[in-house]
Amino acid sequence: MKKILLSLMAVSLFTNMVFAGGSITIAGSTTVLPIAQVTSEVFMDNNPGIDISVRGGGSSVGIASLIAGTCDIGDASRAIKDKEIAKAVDNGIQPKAHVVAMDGIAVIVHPSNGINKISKKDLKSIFTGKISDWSQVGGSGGKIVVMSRDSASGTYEAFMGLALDGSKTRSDSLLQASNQAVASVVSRTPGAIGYVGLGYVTSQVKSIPVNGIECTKATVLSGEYPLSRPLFMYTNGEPEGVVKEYMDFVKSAEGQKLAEEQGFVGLK
Amino acid sequence: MKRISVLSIFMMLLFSIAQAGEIDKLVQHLMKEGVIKPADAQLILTETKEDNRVKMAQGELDTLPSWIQTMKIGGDLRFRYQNEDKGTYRRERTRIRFRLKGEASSVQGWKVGWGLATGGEDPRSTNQTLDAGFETKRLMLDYAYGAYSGLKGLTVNMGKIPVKSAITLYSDLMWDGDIAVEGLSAYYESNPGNLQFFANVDYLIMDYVDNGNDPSMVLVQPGVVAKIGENAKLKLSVGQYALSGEENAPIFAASSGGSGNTLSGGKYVYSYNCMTTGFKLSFSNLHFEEVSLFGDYVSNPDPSEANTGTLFGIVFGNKKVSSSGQWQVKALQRNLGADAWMDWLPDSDARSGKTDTAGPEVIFTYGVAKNITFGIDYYINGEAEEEAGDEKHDLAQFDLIYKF
Repeated sequence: MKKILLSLMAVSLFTNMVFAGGSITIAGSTTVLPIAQVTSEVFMDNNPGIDISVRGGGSSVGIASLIAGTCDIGDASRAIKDKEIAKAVDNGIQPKAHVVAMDGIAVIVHPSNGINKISKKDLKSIFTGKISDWSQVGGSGGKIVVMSRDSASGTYEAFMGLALDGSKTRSDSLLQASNQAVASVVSRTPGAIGYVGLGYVTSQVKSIPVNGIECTKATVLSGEYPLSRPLFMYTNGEPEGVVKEYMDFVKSAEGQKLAEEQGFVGLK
Repeated sequence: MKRISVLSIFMMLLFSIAQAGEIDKLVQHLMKEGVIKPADAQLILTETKEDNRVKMAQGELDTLPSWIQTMKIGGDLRFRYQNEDKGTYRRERTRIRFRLKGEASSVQGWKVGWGLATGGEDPRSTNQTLDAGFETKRLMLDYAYGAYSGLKGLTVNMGKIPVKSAITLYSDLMWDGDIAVEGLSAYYESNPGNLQFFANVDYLIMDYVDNGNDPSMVLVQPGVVAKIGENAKLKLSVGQYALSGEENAPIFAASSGGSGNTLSGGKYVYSYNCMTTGFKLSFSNLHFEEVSLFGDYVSNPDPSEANTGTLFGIVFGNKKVSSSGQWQVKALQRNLGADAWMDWLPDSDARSGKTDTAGPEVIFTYGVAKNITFGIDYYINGEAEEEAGDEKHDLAQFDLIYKF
């Protein structure tokens, strides 16, 4: 009898191990979306019984979905607002913030450009069209060619929020579809200025300090660099079960490496 | 293992310290000493700060009483210069408005909201004109209500409630934004998929009369918020008012400057069981951060003429004006028939708040500094039913507002 019970327990344990599964729904920030997508793909590959559904919609949608109970993880490229916390608490939801990476946006110019620094104020003036010649910011003169990302880009959204205080880029800025494209065009255009994720800065372009702070992994991680921000995934309280397993994976060295491959600054 | 132990001790120490500034210093010190890496420091500081914000909202920080943690105080002070031009009559006034508002909760799901404001008994105005030899100005109870939100998606307010908390408004065609209604108000919302359904159900008491026939109104206002394609969002609602005892209500028109409804012997001739609909269509990824079209429509089935009201408008610029350099423009056109709605409730600045009002309004708001805005609000109003001899009623308001 004892052997039968032990056998049944072993079979039960084996079944649980083999067929352990579950599902996770993730919604929110388009900036965090690439991290969520790539980490969930690898996580599902490693855990075939677990199904993860990832959708964008923006930070507000992610947090609203968490509050409404329609997702397990709400992605946000900003901290939750006081109003949202109050609404969550009223709904019995306890938003728990997880920093999953840092976003650092480097300002780049052509290597021949004599500019070695720029203030955040001048940067805003350049990208919104108030300044259009390099001589107005201490350069040797010449028309400034502004490179920007298309408005669907998370990097564009981040730059607009961090550098332009919500203003849009000038209407004659040249829009590029990727970070690589911005870096590539800037490297070939002497009068150009653009912005890319820190991971896309190469020797072909010159990254210039903003407000005297260089864009490096260290200054982004310390929050010193003005164009940096933490990226969040929010759960309802401390995560449990498959959600915890997934969050642990995102924060692991492997997960953070995947985040860096998407152009973000990992925390490991 | 050593690092884990150091981190564990550090975390224990961290949570025993109340002041966020001290936590910052400690983390910075440990980072400089090489005990923790910059990435860990960033993680700890950010997540601790976010945890504490949530704990504060729940009243669960160990270091402060819960009612202090959940108490919110805010308000604003507005300086206004306004110039009215009625053709044969001009008036210039300098006015101030001060509002202090708060919210407190000691039990999760229950809270009290209150607001004090300058002004008199006029429900549509919190202004105090600078006059009368430096007289002291009155501060009134603007609103005070209890709220319950313990059930998912449901909020019930009772007491004297800001109108914007009781009714989903798209403009001030029917309701001046300064009004605080009185009674019971329930709001429910549900978010299945990408849709949001919501509904307001209100029972509002307009007055007390000795014969027991208190003028009151019931409003049922269901609505929906839906995404349209990738770049547009529509909020739409309909509403039905059911009034009783409103024949006792015209006294309010006299006290708040309104007139326009058809009266006989000091009583309303028509009932005001109006049907309304309103919408806001917002676009994203356009040139401005905010581009929205909005509108309101009201129809009163009782009278046969002058019984509808319409308002259409556009707003563009920044979504909110709260920082230096931000701006927003709102332009609208209203046309409110004499008996479309009760004349003591619409925007008090549109032809002194009367019904039988038509004309455009343009509002420009500019951020002077953080939480300080300058605004110009210009009305060009006349009567909705144009007749010979009608007086125009133009109004220009220049506002400087400090928020805190």
